[in-house]
Amino acid sequence: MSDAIPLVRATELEKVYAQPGHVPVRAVDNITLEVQSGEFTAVAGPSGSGKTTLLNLIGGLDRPTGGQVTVAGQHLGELSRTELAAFRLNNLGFIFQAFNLIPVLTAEENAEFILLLQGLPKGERRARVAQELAELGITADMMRRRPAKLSGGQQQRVAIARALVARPKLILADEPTGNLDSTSGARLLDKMRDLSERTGITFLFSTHDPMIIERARRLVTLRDGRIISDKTRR
Amino acid sequence: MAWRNIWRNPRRSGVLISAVAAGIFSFLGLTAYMAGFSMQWLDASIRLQGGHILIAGRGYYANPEVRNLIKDVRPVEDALADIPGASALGRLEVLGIVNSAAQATAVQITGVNPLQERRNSPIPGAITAGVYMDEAGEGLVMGAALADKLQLQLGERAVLMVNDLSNELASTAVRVIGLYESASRSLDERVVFLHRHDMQALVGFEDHEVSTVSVFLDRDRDVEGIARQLRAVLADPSMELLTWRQRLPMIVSMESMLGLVSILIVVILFAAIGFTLINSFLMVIYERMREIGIMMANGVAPGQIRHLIWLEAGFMVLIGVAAGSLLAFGLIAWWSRTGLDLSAFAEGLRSFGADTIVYPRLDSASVLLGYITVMIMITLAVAWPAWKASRFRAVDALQHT
Repeated sequence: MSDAIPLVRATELEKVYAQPGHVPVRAVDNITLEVQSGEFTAVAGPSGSGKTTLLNLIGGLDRPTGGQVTVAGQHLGELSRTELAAFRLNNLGFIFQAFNLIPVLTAEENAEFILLLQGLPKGERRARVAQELAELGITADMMRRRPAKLSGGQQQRVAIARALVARPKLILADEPTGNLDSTSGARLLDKMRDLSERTGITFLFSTHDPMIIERARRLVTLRDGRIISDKTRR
Repeated sequence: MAWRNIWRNPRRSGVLISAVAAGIFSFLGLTAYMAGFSMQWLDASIRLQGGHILIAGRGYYANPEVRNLIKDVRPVEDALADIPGASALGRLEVLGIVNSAAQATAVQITGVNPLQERRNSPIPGAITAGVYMDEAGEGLVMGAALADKLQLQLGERAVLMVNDLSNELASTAVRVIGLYESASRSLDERVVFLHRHDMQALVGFEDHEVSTVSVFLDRDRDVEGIARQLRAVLADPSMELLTWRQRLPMIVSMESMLGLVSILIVVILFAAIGFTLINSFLMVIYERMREIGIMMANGVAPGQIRHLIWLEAGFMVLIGVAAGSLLAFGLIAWWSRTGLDLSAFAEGLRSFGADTIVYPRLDSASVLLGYITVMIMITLAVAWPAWKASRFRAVDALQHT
């Protein structure tokens, strides 16, 4: 672990799903992990190894049953639901495998959504969104379409634009290439790594896609909710 | 976003908007109908049963004998002449017997001033056969139902028998000149009308002696004020004065009951709409659970989720209320001119003392109350789904497909 103050610090993190009459499931079992700013990290492992649960805990979408998560110096366990929402709005970006967009909004409006919540003026919002979407290959015509009129790859690029446009400190991407063909997936991943290098945004992926694993600077592997390896590539 | 969400499922939104429109239409229609019906029924009942204020000789209310009379009606008529919006009917009311060749029955024989009656009483307008008596004319006017019972035809003579002022039996034979059908069948069967002069001659009253003076007012809300005014002006211990609310407790109870029935119907109506809203919005939030999860992940606060649901419901209700109100106001305006003909239920309505043509009327207070009720209802009905949506755990919502 580095001596610098980490962007993400998970300490003895634990998530146990207990249902009456069932054996408790330890989805995340005593994980301690630090992620530095600007890292491009993949959390890999077989299905059920706890990757998505770990991302959800780091993103404040779920509460741990043990341990604690600190992101950008903020202990997430201290925040109420409303405070957590505000924290996510200003610090985090999310990209999910599919159905990422709000169906009644156009691609442009979807990308603008977070900026609108942040209260940015319309002119600034539109300019930033147009630039981000253009960089991700979304044309002016596509910007005016609703998600149902876009391909899976186009939708995913809009979702990435929405995550990036707010300049979050950390982007959590859960299987972001899962619904894309390999060419589209590779192109998007290259784009994200390029953005990470240019802007210093930290990316944390949950994946078992070899394309992501290949491109990640750091690979954390989970099995049965535990870290079994943590390798950084030079 | 809330506006666009409405049109995602046009059929469901259409059903919801239609339910709200039907609800507000029914509410306004029912309120207007009940207000019109209640007012007409009340007015008819008051006019048929002695007017808004009844002045009588002391003791007459307790014992309606001919001896308990108003000795001189002129001061009363003079006092009333100075009160705008008030008019009077001096009547002689005596219990007696009417005989035909076939039957005899107890009735109330009422001596009237035809000119005053034409201005204030509903009976001259309720003549269905023959004519109402004129200023000078002789003749007897009775209910068609009573004529049937007595097997009397127009133009035939009936014999009226009463106890006169000296407690002697007095009688007179009078030709039936008119038959009436009022809003009250019981009145038709028990009250006959005779010219006041003929009645005075029969009972032995002097020219200015009457049993009662019925006071009719343009506005019911003036009753208490004018009653106070009359009590002060007349200040005659030989006379008693009672308002219709004091004289007719049954009508007062019925009036309250009509109000309660209206409230009950409105509560049931709005409860039905409320449950439709709850059901629809529960479906809506579960259908959009994943989407709500995406919004939560991206920083939408629980309160904003609630507002979104409320706003969507608010837009739909607004459309429904506007549509329902337009339709209701249009129809009520039309019916208030033409009247709503309920003659198919004539028998039932007449036994209740009500007209068969109802003129619905709306007052702004009722409309405002309706809209406030709708707003409260929406707030309550959507509160649960909106709260539920805002309480979704983001992680659960995101796993929903």
